Amino acid sequence: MADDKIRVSRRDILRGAGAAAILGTALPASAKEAAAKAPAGLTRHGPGAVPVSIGLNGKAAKVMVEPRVTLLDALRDRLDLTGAKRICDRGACGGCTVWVNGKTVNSCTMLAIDAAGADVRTVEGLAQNGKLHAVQAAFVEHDALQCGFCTSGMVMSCAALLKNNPKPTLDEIKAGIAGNLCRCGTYGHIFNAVQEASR
Amino acid sequence: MKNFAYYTAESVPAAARALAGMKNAVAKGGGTDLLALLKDRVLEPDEVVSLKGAKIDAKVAGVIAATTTLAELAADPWIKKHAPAVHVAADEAATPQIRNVATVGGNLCQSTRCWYYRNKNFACSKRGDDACAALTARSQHRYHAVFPHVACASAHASNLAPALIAVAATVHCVHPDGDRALDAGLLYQDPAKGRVQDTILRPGELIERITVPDSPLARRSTYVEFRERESFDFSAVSVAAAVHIDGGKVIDARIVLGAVAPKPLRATAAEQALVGQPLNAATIEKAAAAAFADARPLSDNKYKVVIGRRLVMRALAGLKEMR
Ligand SMILES: Cc1cc2nc3c(=O)[nH]c(=O)nc-3n(C[C@H](O)[C@H](O)[C@H](O)COP(=O)(O)OP(=O)(O)OC[C@H]3O[C@@H](n4cnc5c(N)ncnc54)[C@H](O)[C@@H]3O)c2cc1C
Ligand code: SF4
Ligand code: FES
Ligand code: FES
Repeated sequence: MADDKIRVSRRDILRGAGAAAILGTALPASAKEAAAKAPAGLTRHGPGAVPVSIGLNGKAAKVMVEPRVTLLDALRDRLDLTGAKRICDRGACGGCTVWVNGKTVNSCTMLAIDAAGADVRTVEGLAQNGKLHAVQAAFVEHDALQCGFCTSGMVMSCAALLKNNPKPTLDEIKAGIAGNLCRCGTYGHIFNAVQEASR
Repeated sequence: MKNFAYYTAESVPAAARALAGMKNAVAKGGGTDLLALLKDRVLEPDEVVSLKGAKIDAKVAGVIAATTTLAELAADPWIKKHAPAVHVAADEAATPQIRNVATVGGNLCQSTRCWYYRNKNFACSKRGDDACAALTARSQHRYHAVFPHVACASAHASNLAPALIAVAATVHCVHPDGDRALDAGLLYQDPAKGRVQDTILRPGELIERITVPDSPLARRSTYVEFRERESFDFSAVSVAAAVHIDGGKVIDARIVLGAVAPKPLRATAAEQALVGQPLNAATIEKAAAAAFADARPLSDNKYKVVIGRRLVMRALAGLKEMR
């Protein structure tokens, strides 16, 4: 969320300007929060920005986010990975699909902090050694997109499907990408592309 | 979204103890429903306690941890064999991405999809207002209840609730003042003004486990639903049904209707129409009629009654064929 980004950087600037005194606190917010006692058996994070470490496309990554920030917003606004798209922001389109520990999720409908310690893969991390993933190549081959807005999410769902089921039937393909909408109606070409990639 | 302090919990009892002592806190499973309510500021908690990662002992067959995802539940071979209704309900819910994150506890405790409830520009008695925007002359209520309660005409959204009630599952709840085990059908209550929660859970009370019995009733169970799109959509009407047939006669039956009332509804008249009778075309038709005899649909959702009766017939016809 753009406004989250602005809010955090403004706070950082304030802190840099010695605003701690104005805010009536000598400690940075995060240290003060960490010192607040959590009930037995619980660990407290935030409400200020907290460090979240994830494996991102095969490399370790760390991002400072407030607990309310979604994985999608962390990826797009903090980690400069804009492949996953923010369309409905409600788990109802699949445009933001990424893999968390190898499983497809709607990154708009998961908190970034819930991905802490997990292995996250985005469409940017699908090609290996400069070579497109078979699904990506087949999408190009079969013209499986029109405006392209659903495509990065579609590709992640299709690639996840083939990972678990290398030779899916047409019905299995339909079920596998049932969580991705294409407003341009390119489904037919997408089914062809997945079948091609499975050969 | 208002910001909040976020907690992870090592166990469900620890989370329940902490929640009971907090003033404006909410539990979180996968967050697939909660995040939408937070984004729309229907809920503005100061603290969110995540159950993801809480350790729950649920290794025995038929015991489902509340944090089990819908995808994990749909892939459970014991459930598929011993409680087919629960398998199908989990497998057909939402989308692959949501099923990978959404938990069983969250599915049972999710909020209604009533769009007036979810948009604070509209009056909602559930949220404490004097009126219900779904019951005005110009309201859009095609997905709302056909068995309306006076205060609220919302439809209960969960797939799993009717299925778990049909197989007579037990819900194990933990609370610092004492744990309890309830028949899944007793988890829900009629809505009341100013009460956003559909379950009878006390503040801080959490579901830790659900147990599905190994019973003839659960084994002969099924779940059928109607929705406008094959994916994404919540069911417009759903029916979970289970029968125990012995000596050619139904000796026990559970028929549960989903998405037609503010809570999952046991069609007790339909169940009674079957008990003591053979399961055949005539008794199936009688049960279907009885299930919706008390329906009072709104102007735009009469279709739910017509389709709902058909679904009861389809479910029971399926059970007749099942061994
Ligand atoms: C696009 C879309 C389509 C969907 N379609 C369907 C559908 O067809 N059928 C269907 O059934 N659902 C459907 N859903 C809803 C989805 O199944 C629920 O959002 C999900 O199951 C909630 O689980 P969660 O773990 O994410 O819960 P959360 O969002 O984390 O929590 C939901 C509520 O449950 C409470 N809660 C969570 N765990 C517990 C617990 N252990 N004890 C007590 N309270 C708890 C939380 O406090 C919160 O109030 C759909 C959702 C989306 C976004
Ligand atoms: S139907 Fe229920 S949830 Fe919807 S606006 Fe009316 S009172 Fe609120
Ligand atoms: S943007 Fe996440 S599902 Fe639509
Ligand atoms: S290509 Fe335009 S939405 Fe799919």
